[in-house]
Amino acid sequence: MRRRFFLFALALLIAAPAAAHAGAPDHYTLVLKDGTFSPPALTLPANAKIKLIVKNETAVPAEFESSDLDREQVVAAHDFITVYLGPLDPGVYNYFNDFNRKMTGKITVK
Amino acid sequence: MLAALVIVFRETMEAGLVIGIVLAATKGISGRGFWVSAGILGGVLGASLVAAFTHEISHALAGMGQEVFSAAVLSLAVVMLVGHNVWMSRHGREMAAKMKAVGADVVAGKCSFMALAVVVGVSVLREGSEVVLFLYGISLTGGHGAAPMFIGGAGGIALGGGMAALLYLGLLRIPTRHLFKVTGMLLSLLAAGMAAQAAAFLQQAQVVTILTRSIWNTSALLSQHSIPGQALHTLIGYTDKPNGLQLIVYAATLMVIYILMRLFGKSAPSPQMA
Repeated sequence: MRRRFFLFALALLIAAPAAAHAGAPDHYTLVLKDGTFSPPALTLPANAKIKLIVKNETAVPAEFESSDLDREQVVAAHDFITVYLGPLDPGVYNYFNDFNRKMTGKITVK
Repeated sequence: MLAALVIVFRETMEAGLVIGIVLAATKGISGRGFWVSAGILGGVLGASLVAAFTHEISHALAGMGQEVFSAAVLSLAVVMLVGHNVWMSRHGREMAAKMKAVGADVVAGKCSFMALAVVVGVSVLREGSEVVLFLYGISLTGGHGAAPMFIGGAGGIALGGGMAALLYLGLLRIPTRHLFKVTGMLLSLLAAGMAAQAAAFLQQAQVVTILTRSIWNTSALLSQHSIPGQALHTLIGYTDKPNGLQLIVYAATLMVIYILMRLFGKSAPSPQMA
C-alpha cells in the first residue's frame, strides 16, 4: 500500500511539470500605440497553444481583426484583451485594426 | 469618409440581410412593422450598452467575456429561429392561404414573431456595438476629420438598409404560396450558420477545445471577409476555413430543425391552391 502510494507520488512528480507545461500556454503581447502594432512582426511557435495579449495604448477603441487567424475582437481604449490561439500551422498570419486599417501587422508561425 | 462608409457598411450589412429575410418571412402579418422596429430599436439600445461596457465584458470570465457573450446571444437567436420555423411548419400553409394572422393561433403567432424580433435585435446588437465604438472613436479624435467620417458612417448605415430592402423586394417576387417555404429554408440556414458561429466562439473562449482544426480552406476562392463572402456568411453561414465542430454543429442544427418540423408540423392534407 505504502509502496504503491510512493510510486504514485513519483509518477506525479515526473508528470506534473510536463502537464503544467502542456496546460499553461505561452504568453505573448502585442501593443497598439502611435499608429502601429508592436512588435510589427511577431514570431510564434507552431503547433502550440498560445495566449496573446493585445494591448491598446491609444485613446480610442480598436478592433483586433485577422481573417487568417479568424479573430475579430474589440479592445477599449487603454485596455487589453486576451486571445487564445493555436495550435497553429506554420505560415504568415496578417492582422489589422478594423477601426483604422492603416494599422497592420503580421505574425509568423514557425 | 470612404473608409468610414466601408467599415460601417460591412457591419450593418449583416443585420440588414437578417432584417430583409425576417420582413419577407412575415409578409402580410399584422403588427410585423412594430415587432421588427422593436427588434431594431432594442438592438441599437443593446449595442450602445455593450459598447459602453466593452471593458467589463472583455475582462469577465477570465478574459473570455466577449466570446462567451457572442456565443450566448447567437444561441438565443438560434433557439428563436428554430421556434419560429417549427411554428411555421404548423401554420405556414394557412398563412399563405389567408395572408394574415391565423385566427385561433394569434397568440402563438405573436410569440413566433416576437421570436423573430429577438433575432433582428441580436443581429443589430452584435454588429451595432462595433459601429457605436467606431463612431465613438471618431468623435474622440475629433477635429475637422470627424464630420466627413460621420457622413461616411451614415452612408454606410443607409447602404446596409439598402441591402435589407433589396433582399426583401427580391424575396417578394417569389409567389406567395412558395414564399414561406423559401423564407423557412433561409431562416434554417441562418440558424445553422449562427449555431456554427456560436460553437466557434466557444472554441475561441477555450470552453470547447475539440475539433479545432480547419477541415478545408476556400479563402483563395471566396474570402469570408470579402463583401460577397461576408454576405454569404450571414445568409448561409459560409465559412472559408470551417473546423470539425463548426461543420458538425451546422449539420446538426439543420437536422434538429427538420426533425422538429416533422414532429410538430401538421400533416394535414395539403389543400391545392390555385
